[in-house]
Amino acid sequence: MALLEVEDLRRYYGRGRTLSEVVARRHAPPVRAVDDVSFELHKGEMLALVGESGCGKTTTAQTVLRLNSPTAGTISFAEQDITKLHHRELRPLRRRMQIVYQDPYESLNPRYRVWQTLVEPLEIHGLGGSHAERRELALEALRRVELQPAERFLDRYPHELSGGQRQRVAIAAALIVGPELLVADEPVSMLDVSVRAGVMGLLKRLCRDDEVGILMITHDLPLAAHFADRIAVMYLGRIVEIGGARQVLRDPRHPYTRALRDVAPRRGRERAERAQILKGEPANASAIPAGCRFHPRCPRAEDVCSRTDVGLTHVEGGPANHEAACLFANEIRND
Amino acid sequence: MTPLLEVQDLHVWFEDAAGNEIAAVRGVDLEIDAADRVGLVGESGCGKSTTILAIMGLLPSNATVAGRVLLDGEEILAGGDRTIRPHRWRDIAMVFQGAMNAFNPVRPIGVQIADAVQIRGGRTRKEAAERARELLELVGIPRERAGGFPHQFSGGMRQRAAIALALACEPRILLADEPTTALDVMVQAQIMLLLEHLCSEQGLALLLVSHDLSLVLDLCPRMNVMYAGEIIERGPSDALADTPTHPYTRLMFAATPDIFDESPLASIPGAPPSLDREIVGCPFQPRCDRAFERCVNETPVLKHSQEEQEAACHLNDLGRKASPDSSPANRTTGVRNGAA
Repeated sequence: MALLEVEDLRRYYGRGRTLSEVVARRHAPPVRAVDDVSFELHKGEMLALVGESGCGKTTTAQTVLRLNSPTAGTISFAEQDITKLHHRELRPLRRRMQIVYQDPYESLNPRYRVWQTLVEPLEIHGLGGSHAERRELALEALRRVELQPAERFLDRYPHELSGGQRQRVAIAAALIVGPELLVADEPVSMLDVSVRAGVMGLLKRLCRDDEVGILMITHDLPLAAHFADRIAVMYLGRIVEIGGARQVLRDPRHPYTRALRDVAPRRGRERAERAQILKGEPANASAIPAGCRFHPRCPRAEDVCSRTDVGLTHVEGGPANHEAACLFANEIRND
Repeated sequence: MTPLLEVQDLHVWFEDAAGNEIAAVRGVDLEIDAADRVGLVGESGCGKSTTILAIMGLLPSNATVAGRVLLDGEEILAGGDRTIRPHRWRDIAMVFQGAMNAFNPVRPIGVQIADAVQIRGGRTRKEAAERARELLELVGIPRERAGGFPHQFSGGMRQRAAIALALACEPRILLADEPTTALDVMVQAQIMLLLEHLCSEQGLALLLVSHDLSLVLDLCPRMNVMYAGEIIERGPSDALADTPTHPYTRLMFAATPDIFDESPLASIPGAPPSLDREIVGCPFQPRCDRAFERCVNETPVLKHSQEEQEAACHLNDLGRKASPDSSPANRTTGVRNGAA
């Protein structure tokens, strides 16, 4: 049984009418930020939700955590349907699902010392009992995020810490309550390159050693390739390809995944000849193209693509968990 | 032959509110010729942005600058604003980080570019508007869009327009400070292609400042790696990637993820030194996995290390390599537990 099961999730936002819509007396179509997304996340697994800005990856994560209410679909967390739970009913579950935000310069209260940041979640969830016990838990959490010696960090303010150290404190504040699910929203994109691997390695160990399921949101495909177990590529509110991280990148079956992979800057000299750079930018989420939503930018679109909206299907010759949403998924392989 | 732009022994000090002196740039040399693409890479706080702001003469008033900036062999830094101003935008232009958000929201993009075109003089309003449309076309925006307002442009198009704006006075040198940081990878690839095109077709000289090694490797045949206000290694980009002669360069490449390389990523422990006091020894020594006694006391200088490379590392004197062998295990030598 999966830790998290998301089925046909949709999250639409209403918006005001533009002037031209008012003049033409038309309704404002909603912004379809998340438009029919399904996936599972298992214990001890890191799933990366990859895509460009505006593709709905952050909305998906917020909705999964019920920081946002879904328009349609179901979300099950630890075998419990949480789609429609009232926020009061969600409270006891909050301890079990935590989030780490992108920017540790903004997510930490600048007037809290490290121990205050760490003790606050304990107080909210009524954990830890006495002051001394909570202090002990805070020290333990700092050790787990490798801020050593932990005692020295307790009394510091965020401005006394480097970016990498701040993000470690933010992670400590999330894991101190013992979550089973952790959403990491661009956890290292604000950090210097030299400390990114350290923070990502820490998240990876949380998966492996503590069996935490991590949903990582990122625009950085190479980073996802290095650390995630599976990758889900999103485009305009939908997952267009999902599968094992290395598998998806070695053998991408959706032209969008392939294009993303091929434009990623390479470290080695053997970098591929300049790949096809897609023209333009994704359409507006309130005017999603008919048929396959990627077809206006797709290098291999045919007429049929503008009429057929194809869902995720298993790709021929790939492992059971490799799925792509493209009519030509089985031909792309032979390109 | 005189290079188009030459920076010699550039130093920049800032005075903070408490009166402390911070040496942000400590003796930087650079050379750029027409159609060159040169990269300047480093982490936050290494002085890369300060370096190009100093070249542009755009540092805030609490900064002190020393050194020489030569344009066609003519010194332009010594006279301060008086000597830089005639060249700013006309010879040397800059694309700022987040430049796409710097447009006036209530004026059409084309008009704002035409304003900049007229700074150079010699054009009527009508001619300037036509030149603005040409510039937009040059960066891949249809000329009909010149009347559009910033909010009608996507982020990528606004960034292209910002490049067009920088080109308004027909500069020969473009300094680009993280020109794609806020953009998506696909748009980033489009902008990089545009910059490459401007250099090869228009003979523009480009100095690309970025924290992203792989981006610089892709676009710039030559790169300079900065650390704690100094250039610690430079040379052909491919050579720096393949056979680095400074441990910092090696570790930075090893910390940069690559889709097709499955070897573990390096992480460099510790943090760069604070620049408000004198640095004794090698600035990278406390974080270096190959440091020895001499590194603690003696500051290495940038000098020839191998073939076309220069590095500031004592290891090169000993004939030792910055990476002892090429086995993948070395990638991880910088990984250590402890505070990042």
